[in-house]
Amino acid sequence: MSRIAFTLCVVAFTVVSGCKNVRIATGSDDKFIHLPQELTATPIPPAQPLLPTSPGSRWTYRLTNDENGIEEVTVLPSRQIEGQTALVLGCKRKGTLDREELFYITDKEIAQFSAGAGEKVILKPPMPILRFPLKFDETVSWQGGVSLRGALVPSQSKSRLRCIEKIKVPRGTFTSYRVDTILETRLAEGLARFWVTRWLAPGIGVVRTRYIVKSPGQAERVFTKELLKYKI
Amino acid sequence: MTPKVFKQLSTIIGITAALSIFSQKRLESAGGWFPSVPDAIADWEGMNQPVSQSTLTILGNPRAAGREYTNGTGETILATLVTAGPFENFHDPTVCVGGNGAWEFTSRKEFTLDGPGSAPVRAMIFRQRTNPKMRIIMYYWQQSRDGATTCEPMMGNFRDLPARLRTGYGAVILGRQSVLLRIYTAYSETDDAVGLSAQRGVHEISRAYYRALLKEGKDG
Repeated sequence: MSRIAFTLCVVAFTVVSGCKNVRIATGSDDKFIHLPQELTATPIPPAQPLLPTSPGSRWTYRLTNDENGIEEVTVLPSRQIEGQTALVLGCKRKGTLDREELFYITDKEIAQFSAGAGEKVILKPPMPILRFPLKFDETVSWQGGVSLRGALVPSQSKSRLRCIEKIKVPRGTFTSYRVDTILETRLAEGLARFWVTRWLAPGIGVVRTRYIVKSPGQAERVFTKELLKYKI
Repeated sequence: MTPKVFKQLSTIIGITAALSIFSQKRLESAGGWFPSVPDAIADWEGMNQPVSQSTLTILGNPRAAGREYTNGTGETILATLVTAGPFENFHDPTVCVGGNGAWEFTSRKEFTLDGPGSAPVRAMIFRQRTNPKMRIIMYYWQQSRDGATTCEPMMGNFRDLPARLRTGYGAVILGRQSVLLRIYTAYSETDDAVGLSAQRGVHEISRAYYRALLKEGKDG
């Protein structure tokens, strides 16, 4: 009787306890798991402006695209557009003014009014890329139109502050605020997507930009701008 | 005349069989709660993403719901919910994800999902062996209809016996119904240096699931 009871106990134990080993973590990636309070931490506000606006400030970037060229960006005199003061950045390539990029900067947000490479692209209304007070991973949404070749194309974007990180560019290493933006534009050929990631260093400005362009029927293109030198 | 020992043995076998049928029915009943899951969470839009038949077969064919959440900025979070009935439903992610050899189980931490004293969940990191910059972050927990959660392993060897007994007691004796949740995403270290953004997304969706199930459990 005691043998039978013992056998039944062994069988029951085996069935209940299973036979597969749950893996033990190596512990090598502990820094990749964050406690909830770390996830909700708010970013340290930048001590200086993320986009310097003093006229004459200039930045020189190395372009890693088909041209592998140089771009010089200068703060031009500000302009009044629809009752608001716009920061005007003149972008020169091969010594000639290639385009102007316009931003509205207030204590509430940084918004982009025009962009583009080679041709003028107007964003209506201005497209916010960052809102203050800053919050990590808070989506800043926009719906409007992009003026392309004279036509206003329905578009939408989402931007967010991803993180504060150190980034190494030819000019040096900078602690910067990384802002990701996705702009979707509905062209006649289909949906075009533009991913723009900007690294903004307080008091210095944009130290790196990465563009990913996916146009209908074309392969994805990636190019970057990295800071070579600057004068504020 | 039947020997006494056979009578005793028959009694033991009869009681064991009755208990077995009873516990089997109760475990099946434990998997009878199949709550609905959120379609949209803050900026995240959910799309139905059925759990594959091969996965369901491994899990003993529980009822399952899968969603793929995207936020319009290139991030994707996957969420699966399976009913927690018989113990074969309780496949541990450390075995399932790490089992095929492509991913190495590198770290785990447990914490509460919705503030101090709330729901304990288990966060795990799996690193791709061929590309060590690629990682999966996954939250895993079991949630009962009454709102209680646990994240202990249940399919292991003798080390997991207390957890299995607690769960078995809850299901068989108390009639507790529960589901198993896995919320996860993959990311590259080059794009998300320490995985903060990835985990924020997983955490946000996990917390929304916890709250939705808590509400449904109370209302239902």
